[in-house]
Amino acid sequence: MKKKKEKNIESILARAEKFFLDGNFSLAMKEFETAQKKLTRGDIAAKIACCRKALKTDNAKQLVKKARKAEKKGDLGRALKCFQQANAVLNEAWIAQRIENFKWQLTGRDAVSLAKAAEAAGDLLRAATCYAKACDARGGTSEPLLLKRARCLVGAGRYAEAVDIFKTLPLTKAGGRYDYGFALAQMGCFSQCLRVWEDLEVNDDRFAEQKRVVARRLGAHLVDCLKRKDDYASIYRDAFYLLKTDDALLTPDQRRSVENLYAYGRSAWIEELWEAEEFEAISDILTTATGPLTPALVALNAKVWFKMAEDDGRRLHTMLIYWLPAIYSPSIAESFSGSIGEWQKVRQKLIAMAENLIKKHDDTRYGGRALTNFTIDKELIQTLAAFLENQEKDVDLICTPGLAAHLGRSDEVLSLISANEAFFENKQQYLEFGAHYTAAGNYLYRLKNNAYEEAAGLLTDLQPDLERDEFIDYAMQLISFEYGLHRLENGDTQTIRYFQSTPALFDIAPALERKLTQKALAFEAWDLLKSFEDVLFYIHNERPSKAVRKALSLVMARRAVAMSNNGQSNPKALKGIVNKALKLDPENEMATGVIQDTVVHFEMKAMYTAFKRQKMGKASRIARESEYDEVRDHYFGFIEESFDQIMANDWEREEKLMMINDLYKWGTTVGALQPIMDRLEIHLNMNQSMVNG
Amino acid sequence: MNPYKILNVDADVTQKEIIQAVTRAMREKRYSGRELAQAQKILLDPISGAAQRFLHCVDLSRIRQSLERIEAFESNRGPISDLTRLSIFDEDA
Repeated sequence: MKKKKEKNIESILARAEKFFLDGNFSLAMKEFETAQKKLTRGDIAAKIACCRKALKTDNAKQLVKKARKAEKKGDLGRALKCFQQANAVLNEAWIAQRIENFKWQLTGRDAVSLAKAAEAAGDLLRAATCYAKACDARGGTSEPLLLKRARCLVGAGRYAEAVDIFKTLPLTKAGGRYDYGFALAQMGCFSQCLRVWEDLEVNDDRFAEQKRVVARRLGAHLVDCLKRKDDYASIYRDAFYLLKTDDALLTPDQRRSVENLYAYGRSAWIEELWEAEEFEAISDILTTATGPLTPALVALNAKVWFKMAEDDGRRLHTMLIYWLPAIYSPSIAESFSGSIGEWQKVRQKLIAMAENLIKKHDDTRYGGRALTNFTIDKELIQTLAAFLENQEKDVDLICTPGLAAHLGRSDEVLSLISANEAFFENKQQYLEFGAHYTAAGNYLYRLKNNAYEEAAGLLTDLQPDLERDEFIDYAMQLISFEYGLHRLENGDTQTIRYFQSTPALFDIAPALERKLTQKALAFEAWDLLKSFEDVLFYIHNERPSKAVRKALSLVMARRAVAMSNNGQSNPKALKGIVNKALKLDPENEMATGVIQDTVVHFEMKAMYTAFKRQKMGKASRIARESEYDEVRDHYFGFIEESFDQIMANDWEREEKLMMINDLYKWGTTVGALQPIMDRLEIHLNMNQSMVNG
Repeated sequence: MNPYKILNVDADVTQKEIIQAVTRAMREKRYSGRELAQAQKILLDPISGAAQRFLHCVDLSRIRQSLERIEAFESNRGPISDLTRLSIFDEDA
């Protein structure tokens, strides 16, 4: 019996161990407990404890699964409970973190409910506090909750706290923007309030009135700043803002006052910036400035851009717009000296300073053209000042083309020039002066800088609807002529189109006619002379003049000779062209010389051909009829050479005499007064005496 | 160089003040003797001085003289608590 009992225990323990090893702790524990009732042993108790612990862990894992399911269903309370129970067993960090999160969320949810209730009850401060809690429960980053909190704070009159929150929010909706602006206004930040409200497109009279109230408060605030001589930057910025914003914000009187505030703040702030050498900031203010550009502001621009150009050549261009008008302004010159006599000396000094500055940047692309442009402007403004400085009116028109264009006053300057044509020495000076102030002016600067291609842009760039006047017409004629000449010198053989307006230009500008003829006469590339010839021929046809005719004649002769020298024409063609040249200008000495050389060349060639063919009659006639002694000299040279050859031969005396007699006979038909003829005659006479004797 | 800055003087400096400023600047030793001499020479010459004054000095006080009396906003001072919060935006948060 005892053996059977032991057997039973062994089988129970065996089953228990099997369940234990299979991980079935529930059945294993049951078997172990049955065994322990029959046999009290320490190892069985340990196994029971182990199974109990394993069962607890399994149970906790099940709870985690349940918690996750509950979370998915949105049942945060049940999820929290399951996680809490599970973690009592598992004690894992991630479960603890989840538990904390659920607690915050549940608190936040509660807080939002409380906040809404407080809001509904009109307790906005409490609502704000609840929203703060709810927001904290969500990590403090919930923009909708922050916005609600800030708006509740505004409602509760806690403006500073509200503003601190609004500052951090994007504020895409009107409600938030309105409250933000409202809070700012309540804090005295009127300017910021208006800026926040700026984009609120709400058609509501009460809101419009509130904006007007805030604008007026801002005006009053700026006046206070001005009285305290404090914060000029704000006076300038806020007044500028008020001026450029909605007209309806201010009455006309208030607007005028703001204009004064703006001008005051701007000038005072500029002085502060000047002391601090903040020239860039000043230039920004001046660039965006509203109101008239007074001489004082022109001078300020001049010196600010001068200062900036000292370090940066890119600033030269703008500096040059203002520099000369500033120093030629009579009201600025008054500050130079009490003595008008000294004004000009100071101006010269300032001009020299500007030129030195330009030269400092000479090796940059900014400085390259600046000196030429400055020189042009200097001449223009000196001329303008010369006929305006004695006038009471229009002295503010003493300006360069650049500034006139900048101010939109080019037409006024042009009218002034038109009304004072008699002041100029001649029509060309008058037109060229005026042309700089037209839309074509910039192209003239390029022309003077030898930027021919850029200058020629005028011929195509001008707007078709631009009203043409005599100044623009002149500029176009001048640029067309200069560009054509440039292309001509650079080998373009099709330039006639650029000279179509040149005949009219020469009527105005005789100096340009001289320029063309001198260029033509000095041109050495013989192969391109034809192009010059074509241009001169065209101009001569359209507008005959002595200068062009003589130049054309000479170019024709030179080209003909050059072609002949290069074997590109025969003497006959040469003679034909040169004769035409001579017809144009009978005084063309070169043509005359060429003709002489050519005829001599012709006659000699024919005479020697006749000699060669023993046609002495023909040779003698050529020599006799020639206008040139050179031909006859060659003829008698041939006679002398022939005589010497006859004498050197061993022929019979009678034969020699007969031949010498022939020579003598032909020679006398050409001329007897030649040394060789004397020799022949003497020889013949001597031989005749011998025959007779 | 800016002679006004070197000698630390205003645009309307007198000849006597220029000389005093040079003496003071020599004691301070912030600029070399050569720079001080050059600055003095420029400012004592009426032509050079006027040119330098134009370039280095800015005085816009004349612009402000006529602008100091601004009365249009006299009645708009005090607290702004009378500005009441409008409810038209309440539904638009």
